[in-house]
Amino acid sequence: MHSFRYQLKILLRNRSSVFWSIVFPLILGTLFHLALSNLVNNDNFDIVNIAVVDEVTDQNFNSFINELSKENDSNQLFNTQYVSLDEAEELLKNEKITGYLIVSDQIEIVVNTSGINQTIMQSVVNSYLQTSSAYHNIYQINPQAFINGVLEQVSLDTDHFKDATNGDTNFTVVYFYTLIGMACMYGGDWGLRITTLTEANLSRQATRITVSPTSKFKSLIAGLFAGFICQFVSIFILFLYLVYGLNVSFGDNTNYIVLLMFVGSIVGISFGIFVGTMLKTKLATKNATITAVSMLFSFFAGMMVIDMKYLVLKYFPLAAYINPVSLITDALYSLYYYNTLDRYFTNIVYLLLIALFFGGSSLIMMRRKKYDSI
Amino acid sequence: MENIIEIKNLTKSYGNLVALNDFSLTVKKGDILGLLGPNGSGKSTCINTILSLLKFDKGSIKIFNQEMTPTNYQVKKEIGVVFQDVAVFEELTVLENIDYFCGLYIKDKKTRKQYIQEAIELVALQEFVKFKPKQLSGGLLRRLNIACGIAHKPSLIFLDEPTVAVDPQSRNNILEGIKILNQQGATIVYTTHYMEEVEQLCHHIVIMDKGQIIAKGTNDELKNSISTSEKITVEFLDNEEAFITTLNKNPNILQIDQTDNTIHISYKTKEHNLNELIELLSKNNIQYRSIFSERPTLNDVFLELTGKELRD
Repeated sequence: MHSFRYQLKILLRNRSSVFWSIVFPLILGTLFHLALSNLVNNDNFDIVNIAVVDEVTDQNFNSFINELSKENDSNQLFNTQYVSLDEAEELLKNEKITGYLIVSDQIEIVVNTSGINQTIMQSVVNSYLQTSSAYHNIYQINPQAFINGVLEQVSLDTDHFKDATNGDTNFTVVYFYTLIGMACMYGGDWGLRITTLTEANLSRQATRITVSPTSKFKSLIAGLFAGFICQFVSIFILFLYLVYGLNVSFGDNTNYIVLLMFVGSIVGISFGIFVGTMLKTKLATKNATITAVSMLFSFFAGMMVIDMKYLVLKYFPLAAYINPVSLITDALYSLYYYNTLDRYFTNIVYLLLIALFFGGSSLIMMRRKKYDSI
Repeated sequence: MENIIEIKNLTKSYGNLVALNDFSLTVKKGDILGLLGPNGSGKSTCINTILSLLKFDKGSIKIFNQEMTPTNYQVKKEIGVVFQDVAVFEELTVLENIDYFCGLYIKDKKTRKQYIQEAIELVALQEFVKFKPKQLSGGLLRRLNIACGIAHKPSLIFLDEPTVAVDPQSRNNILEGIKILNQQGATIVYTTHYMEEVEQLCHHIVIMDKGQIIAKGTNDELKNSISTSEKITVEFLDNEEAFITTLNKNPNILQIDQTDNTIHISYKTKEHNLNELIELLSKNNIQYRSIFSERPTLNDVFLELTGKELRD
């Protein structure tokens, strides 16, 4: 308790750690809020301007698109124009539309860039194709099903989007979720400090603690508790600021968010201990390493360019699974966006494995009782 | 008297560099042992190895008749260490620093409070208890460093160059404090390269060079062990080459070193040398600005044994 109390004091009075772990994420969150405020205030989908090029008239598809294009309807997703191919190309070129659909034997989507609107177009078309395929199959197997109304459950309306999500599809929340992930990794700063309080070859203070009759294990446990409390409180302050100060939506799963912050804090602390024990260099270099790696993780998780997260997933999926910021962001996003918890818990498991790797390797190094040099 | 520390044939290398070479040492209870040697002679390595901080290649270390290991907490409880570098927390006040380190040894709060108060008084930091380390001068910081190392009233104290870069007032305070600790029953191992401190403080002296003991004994024993018994320094008004040549014929004179108009004469025996020299100067009508006699220093001992100065 004595060690814990003083290590907590030492950590909390360290201005550098407090700045990077508590103040800096708050500043960054505020800057994000200022930069994204217009987008953040949008509670619903933007209506997507599209064009349809009917090479072959598909009544079902046209009805489907028309249903989603009803003006002033709460389900309206699209503002649709039926045009020729040339006109569609011209509209796309002039950025009047997000993309156009060519309806022939298949349905082809033509877009110039990627983004949320293009993703919506893709999702709608996929949904139509899957559902119409389901209709077709069921009809082949059991035509009576049409009469019994079974197919009412295979609906073709925007409820697909509403039911699958929590009703708020503001993608800018991802920026704030990466911020939580980044702040978790900045917990490495506390972890590094704990290492310098424990390893006799890293600081004179630790040498003095090591020659005392207090066991290294007890000292480390006290430090870990102190560091974890600092880190968890830092993340919680950031979370409260995002929710109540900046009105960032995290959905209704507060308990799961707290669990995620708990696990994220463990990952951050263990990352700092890993850097502290493994790198044989100056403390300042270790600090810089933690900051640089955290920023790099955040970049690949989509903090600066939101598409980066998807590009990594597409081209280097393994990199996404070993990036704690990406996993934390994804877990938060899955809590916010999906009603199921499978993806959330998958991310939690990956995070725990990363913490185990960082913590386990560090403990092996820290087991030594004597040093080659001090 | 009881042996507090027994080191036998200790060897410690850093790669190809042998930092401690077959080092053996015994420290008796109640002793103040000075480990004297130039920088890099192996003093700090010796202390860190005794404290079980460093691995060593061979040898054995016993403290309080028990083998010293990193987990021998019973022995560690009785040891206090004052490191060469100040080892305190910038984030804590003077009082908190002492309390933190003392608390690693003394669990009882009431006893600890009393011990801390005594440590603060010993190093005269009463007026600075609420100060943060960065608000303290170098000397006060050194005193805090000492208080953190000895507040738990250890019976064996290692002080590794505790007075480096300290003002004279703080140095005197520190040395007086060490004497008091010794009077209270603590055995002390004191490393330094300041021979004056060792002469002033230590009962026994071990002179180290290149990881080996080159001489040991009391201050007098060491000084008597070398061929020089007395040193006389004369500052002439003019260059007196002829007189110096005459002096060189004296069989009691070991060596004469000359710097400008000043000569340093080393004598084999210490009987009547100053009187004889003054008479000789008068007889030859040699004028001089000053003349004084001194006993050989530990630096002379080191010089004679190694051929180099202690502060090289």
